[in-house]
Amino acid sequence: MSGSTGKRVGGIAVAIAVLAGLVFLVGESLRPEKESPKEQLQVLRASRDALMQHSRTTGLAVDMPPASGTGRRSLKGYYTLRAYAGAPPIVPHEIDADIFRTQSCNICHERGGFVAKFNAYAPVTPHPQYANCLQCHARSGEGLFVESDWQSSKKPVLHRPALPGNPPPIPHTLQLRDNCLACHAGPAAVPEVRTSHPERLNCRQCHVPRQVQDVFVRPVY
Amino acid sequence: MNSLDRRAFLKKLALASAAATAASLIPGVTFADWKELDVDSGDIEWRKTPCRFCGVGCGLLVGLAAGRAVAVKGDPDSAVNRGLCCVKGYHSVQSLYGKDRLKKAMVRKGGKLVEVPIAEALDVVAAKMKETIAEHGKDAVSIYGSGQWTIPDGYVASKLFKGAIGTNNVEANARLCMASAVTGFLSSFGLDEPMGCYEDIDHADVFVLWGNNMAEMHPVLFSRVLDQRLKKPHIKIVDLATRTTRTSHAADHSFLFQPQTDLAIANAICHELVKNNWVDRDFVDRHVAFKTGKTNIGYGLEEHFAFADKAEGSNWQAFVEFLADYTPEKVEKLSGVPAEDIRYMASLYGDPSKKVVSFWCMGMNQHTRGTWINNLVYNIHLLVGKIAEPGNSPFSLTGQPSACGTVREVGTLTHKLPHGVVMNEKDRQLAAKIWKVPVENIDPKPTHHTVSMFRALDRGDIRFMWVQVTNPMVTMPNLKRYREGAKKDGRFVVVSDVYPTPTTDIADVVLPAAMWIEREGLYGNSERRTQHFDQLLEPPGEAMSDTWQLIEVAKRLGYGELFPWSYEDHVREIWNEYRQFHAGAKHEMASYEELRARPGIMWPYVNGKETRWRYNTEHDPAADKAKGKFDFYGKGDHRAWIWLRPYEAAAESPSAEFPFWLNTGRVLEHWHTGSMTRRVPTLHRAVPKSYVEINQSDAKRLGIANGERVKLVSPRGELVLEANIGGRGEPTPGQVFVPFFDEALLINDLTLDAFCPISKQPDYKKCSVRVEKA
Repeated sequence: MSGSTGKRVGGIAVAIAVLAGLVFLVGESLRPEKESPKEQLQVLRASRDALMQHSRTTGLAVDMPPASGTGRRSLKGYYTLRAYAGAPPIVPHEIDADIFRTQSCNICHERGGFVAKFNAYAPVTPHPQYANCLQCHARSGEGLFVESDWQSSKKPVLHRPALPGNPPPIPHTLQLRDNCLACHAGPAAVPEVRTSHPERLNCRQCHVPRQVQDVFVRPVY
Repeated sequence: MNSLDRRAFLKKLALASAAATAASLIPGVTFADWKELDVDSGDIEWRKTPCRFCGVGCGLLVGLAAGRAVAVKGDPDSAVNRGLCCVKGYHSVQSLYGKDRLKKAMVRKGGKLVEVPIAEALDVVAAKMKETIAEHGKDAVSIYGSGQWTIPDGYVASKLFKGAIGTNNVEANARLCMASAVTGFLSSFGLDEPMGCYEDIDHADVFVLWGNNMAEMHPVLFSRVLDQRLKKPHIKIVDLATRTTRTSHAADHSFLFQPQTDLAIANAICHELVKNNWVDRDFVDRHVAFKTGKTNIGYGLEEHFAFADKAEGSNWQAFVEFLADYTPEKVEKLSGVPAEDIRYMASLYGDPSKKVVSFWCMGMNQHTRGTWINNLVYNIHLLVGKIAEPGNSPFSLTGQPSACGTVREVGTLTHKLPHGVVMNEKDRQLAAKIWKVPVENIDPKPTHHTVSMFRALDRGDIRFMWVQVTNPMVTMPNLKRYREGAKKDGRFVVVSDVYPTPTTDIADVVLPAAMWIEREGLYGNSERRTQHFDQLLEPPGEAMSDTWQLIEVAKRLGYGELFPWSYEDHVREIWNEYRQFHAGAKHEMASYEELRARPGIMWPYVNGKETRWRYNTEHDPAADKAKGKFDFYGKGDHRAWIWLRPYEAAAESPSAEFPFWLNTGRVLEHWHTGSMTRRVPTLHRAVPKSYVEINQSDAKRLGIANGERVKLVSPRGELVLEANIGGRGEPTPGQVFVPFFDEALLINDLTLDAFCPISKQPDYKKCSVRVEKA
């Protein structure tokens, strides 16, 4: 083994140790209310593996919320940035200069992570490949030109499995949102929609979008 | 802390801080989500429509619930946008729901607009038209629409005014928007509209953007360009502009030039192509002819200005001699673009291994030599044979959803008919036959282009004007004159619109219009794609589609038999009648049924096949294979024409008294005059008012800070705005830029009504102003 390889292995070992520490904290803060010690251990192991995998496959940052829970998002906050369920959210913070800034948006929003300036975890974009961010995400501001009579549907009902214990269906379109983990895992995920099992990765093996409302009707021949 | 307490504590804290997070990022700004209907988000019905805004023509899926539009997503089946929109598209349906929607007709009585039943208002309109024609003749009445007219709107307007009443007083805002693109196409190729299509983006290696801030103005197409560069890193984007914009920041190279000198730069690129033997001589010999036109052609500022260009034969030798004046060194002095950078651009066009797309829009079209600069960019592509094949494409973009579909294809301009021009007897005969009117009804003489029409209204030669789907009291250049003219006694202005605007303010009758998906219609986008939309919503109050308003007035004028359709089937009947004008391989349109079923179809549509590359004998059924790989059949000689067009100065340049150039334009969030987008909360909040961009060095020299109020003064008017320094755009030193969307800050009171003598399109990008601290 050459010296550099040794260093690299050492570095990886340190990284794993740090990660395991983080994972432990996460496991603690994210653990469901009623779990046996055995289940807890399983969740912890799974979470560690998932985060490793998560990090490798998506490049998402794996730093975790501090124990205080500071800077977490809420579903209510999530909807205040949108004109309807599925609308592109506005940018709820100042941006230095209003120029084309793919690279700068993606510094925080491609991989996520804690942003001390805003005391918040940066939400991770599910579509970092679209470079002209401000094309869809407008800056926020105040006031109205004239009052609006805008109304939209109710917010999607979450966690609505067909049978108790079944995997809930996906209540939104997958267009521009087909990277499930971007929004449903990691520290910036809204707690109400954060998955308990990011390690399974193949989300749509169990969760499928609801495409139509009607039921199957046999054709008549 | 035991684990249970800790969890409870964490939970509480998370809830508290999370609720505050969104709102706390910007102090003082509060956000609220939407008012909820009693409809489950899963019960939304999704229906297709083209977007209401720009000429890109994105396919949208509009979510419907409880009789309302409640959401939008991009249509993944649309070949235009493949599921992605821009912020205007995503919020487009909110523009239907401003609380001040016009729901009732209004007639001016005793100086005030008074609500009346729409039938009564339509009676007034018809009576006034009859009276005006009886007193002042048929050419005293006029209609002024726009590229926001659906195809049926424009078709019925043309049939009523040109076919029935017999006046060529039919114009549209598109004259202010893409007339130079039309005359560019006609003079270079003999037929309007691009040879290529958006798919060229997927095949190109180089994109040259001529004065085109695509990142803001055509964002969805720009996303397609950026997506290609991400996949193929060798791709180069070159921004050639007078202002540093989001597009410049995204580009690989940004070259800034002095206003108006694009003419010289294009010729310098040709100079280098010839000098370095990068010309495709075989292509030029087979497919190109050389022409000269008139020079020193004026600026249209005189009251009864008239001009007609004249093509004279020229040749290769004369062209080479003509280019001798445009060495990169000489052009560097004029344009400010280093000779090396001009050579670099020429090398991109000249490299036979690179496919090149040139994009442009208002920068080249709103130009007192707009036709010329269109010709000159075609010259570059023709010299190297990079045209009419996948990835090699000079591409003129448009700004309005149906500028192509309605104004250019239906021909709602004074000289046009749905097929051909009023001056051509055969074209008049065809129109008379399809319209079932006597051929004598159609006047063979064009009357007024847009600026001339508003001058005629001011003078009193035109007494009645019906404005539909546009807002000239914000958009006309040298606006003060035309506003005062329209308000004069003895002028009668009818305005059909969806919201109150500065144009409805001066109207004698206001007709509430059904907007976009509140009626059935068709648009045509920049790539020859026709797109149908069903009526998806009920219009509010007594609002009525522009098409049906015209038909109602036609009936009152006694022309009912020319418009015999029922409300239920009138769009299909109009389409079937209109289609006859374009029968044949050069412009065949798809059937109503096919258009209804699909998210857009490109013409010529022959035997169930779209034509993606016109004039290319492999793709275009109208092109003759005997001519080789290409057949430029638009011209009688089956050749594309290279024009020897020189650099000529702008109509008004900075002077000692007015030392700055004034450039005007749009921002991403607002569309046209903002009458729709300002009613969208997200868009208004992003850009609530207009401002003036000043170069940082000028601001420093004048001691102007960002946000400070400054006064712009032109020879025609003045306006106080907030300075925007180091913002999303930065003009070159000696130039200022003002967005025109804001009806409270009318920059067109300062602009000049000079126009391209060939296209008659005004130049909104160049006049002179003084900058003072307010």
